[in-house]
Amino acid sequence: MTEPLKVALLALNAPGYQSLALGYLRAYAEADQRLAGRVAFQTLDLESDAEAWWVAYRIMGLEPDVLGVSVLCWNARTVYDVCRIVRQALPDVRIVLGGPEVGPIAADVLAAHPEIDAVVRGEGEEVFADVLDLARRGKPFSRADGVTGRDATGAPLAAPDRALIADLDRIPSPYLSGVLQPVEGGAYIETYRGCPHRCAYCFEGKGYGRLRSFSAERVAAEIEYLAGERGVRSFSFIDPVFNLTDERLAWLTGLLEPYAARGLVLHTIEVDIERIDDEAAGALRRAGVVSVETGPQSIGEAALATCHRRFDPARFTRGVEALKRAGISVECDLIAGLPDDTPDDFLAGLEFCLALDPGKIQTSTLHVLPGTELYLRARELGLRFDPEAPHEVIATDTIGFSDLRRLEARSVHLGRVYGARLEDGRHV
Amino acid sequence: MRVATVPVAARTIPLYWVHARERGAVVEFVRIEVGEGAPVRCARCAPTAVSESRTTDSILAEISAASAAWGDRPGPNILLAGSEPFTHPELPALVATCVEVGAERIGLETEGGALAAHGNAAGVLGAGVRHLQVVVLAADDAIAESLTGRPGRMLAVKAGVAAYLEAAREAGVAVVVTAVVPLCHHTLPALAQTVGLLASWGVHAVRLVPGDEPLPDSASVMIAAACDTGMVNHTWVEVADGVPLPATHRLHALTIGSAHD
Repeated sequence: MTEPLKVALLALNAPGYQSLALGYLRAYAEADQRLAGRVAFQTLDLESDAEAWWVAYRIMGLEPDVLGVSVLCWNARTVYDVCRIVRQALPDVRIVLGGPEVGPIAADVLAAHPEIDAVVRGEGEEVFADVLDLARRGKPFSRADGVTGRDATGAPLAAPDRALIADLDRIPSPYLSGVLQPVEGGAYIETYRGCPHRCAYCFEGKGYGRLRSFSAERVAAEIEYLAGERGVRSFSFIDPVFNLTDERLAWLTGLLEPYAARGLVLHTIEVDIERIDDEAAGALRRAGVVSVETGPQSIGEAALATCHRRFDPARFTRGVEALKRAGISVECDLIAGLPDDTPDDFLAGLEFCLALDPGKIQTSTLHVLPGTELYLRARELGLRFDPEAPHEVIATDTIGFSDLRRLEARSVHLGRVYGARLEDGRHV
Repeated sequence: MRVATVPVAARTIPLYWVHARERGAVVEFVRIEVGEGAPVRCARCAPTAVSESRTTDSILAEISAASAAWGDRPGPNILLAGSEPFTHPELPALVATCVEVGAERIGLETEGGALAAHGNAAGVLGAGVRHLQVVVLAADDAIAESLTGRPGRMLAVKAGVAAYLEAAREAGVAVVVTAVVPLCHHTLPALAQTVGLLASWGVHAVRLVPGDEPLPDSASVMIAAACDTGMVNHTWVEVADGVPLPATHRLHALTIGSAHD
């Protein structure tokens, strides 16, 4: 009997969270009959501020044959450092990356990082299972659709794209299959993939195409497992728009309501706030939602048009007010450095959000993410950004470098001023 | 302490205007004077006036009136200012009243040194003060002594700010410490150094305000240098109306829309 292929999966996450993406990859591969009994997994869910040498040390202790890494813009630099170190220590390991940071620029990643063997492009579950099957048979990874590997000379070689998984229920639940053990406050649930919007700065709508949902039964089973069987009192939804449709909102909030009555709380779900009225806000509150995250990202008309975002200040305000009446805190997000936005546009956005007194205002600087429309049209739109992850914007045609830094500093300070307050009569 | 009964009108001041249009839709504080005078003034520009506290009843009435008149803006937010609030005999009652009338944000404008004494820092934090404004002429002790005639003052102020920040950290509450620097011919030469030192103390922002005498437009070069010093030291510098500011640095203006010079 041959030794099983040893596979190490690595993710560098926000503190307290574990990677749902790795959970999917592992759950799918473990259910693949080609790999049954032939592959042994170890998952390393570490924190994004972990030091590269220490991460590499953890990996080397596993002596993997294949190292699979989930890469986001936030952890890419550390991931590349880790891979370079691991390659030197374990010359025979085959390193495969995936995730939105690397998939859209797979050939560039391979050209810049000789220590990496292959990049999975797009949705990873089927592709990674194929990669592992090829690995155990000693075959080139570029034989799998959806992979960019290397040819005999080491040059990047892209296989054809892989079609998206039509039936998401084919991906076993990482929770129900036991691959992921839920973490209080740090567990994620995904009910669908894709996004109805096409915001030019976001990967979600472009990268995952049309909307595809997990079945109602699957979602209900995951919620029952987390909130019922395991007694998790706080977890997160990663759906880009929680209130995708009125019908879906009614179904999902109805599903959650019995658990909320027993203490379940949901923080910072993302909503299309212009479609929130008192009825929807009440449903969210009964479902245990205590805070939501929303735009407007910008209120500058030119930037909104360039980024394909709609914004109706009256409807937005109505949504915030409805949520506040329901006792739900709103986090309003603004992005500095969007194309065509001016400093005054950004400050007017801050003024608009502050006037709503939403609960929290979060400002960030634009990251020109691979695979997004802004990444592809950066030169045309006048965006100058750091080519290295996390691809932060440096200057635009309408906001210079120094003013962009000033806006960052000013908005951070203003957010601090807004946030330093007594809440509910509570002092220290 | 002699208590004066001079009525001082409440004034709504736009501490954090972000736009030139007076839509009033930002984080505003109503400034309530607890007495006449200012915590700190440049002794070379003007003789130091004796501070006088107002009667407690008149201040309490003003706090209540300000809260009742507050509209839909975020708040009510109340800044207790004027003469040094720590010398007011009823400061705890004043802060408690702010809480009772529903103030969401409570600020104190102080010379800062009193925070280091007798558990004052933890005391005001516990009472509800989340915004601290410390008036300084210079952060360097020798320069400050030359401007105030009070040796060792800045060491006490630095210790007071540190005590307040530490109390907030221990309590896990968000606070904002702003150093307010009145500008005059005597504070201007060391301004960039002052901003750098204040940043090293951990203040979150430095606000440059007009002093007793107007500054020439040529001062804008030093103002710009102070703003840049703040930027590289991760401390926001905001410039009040009446202080010369070059167009290149207009985003540092408290009232956005145009440079001041």
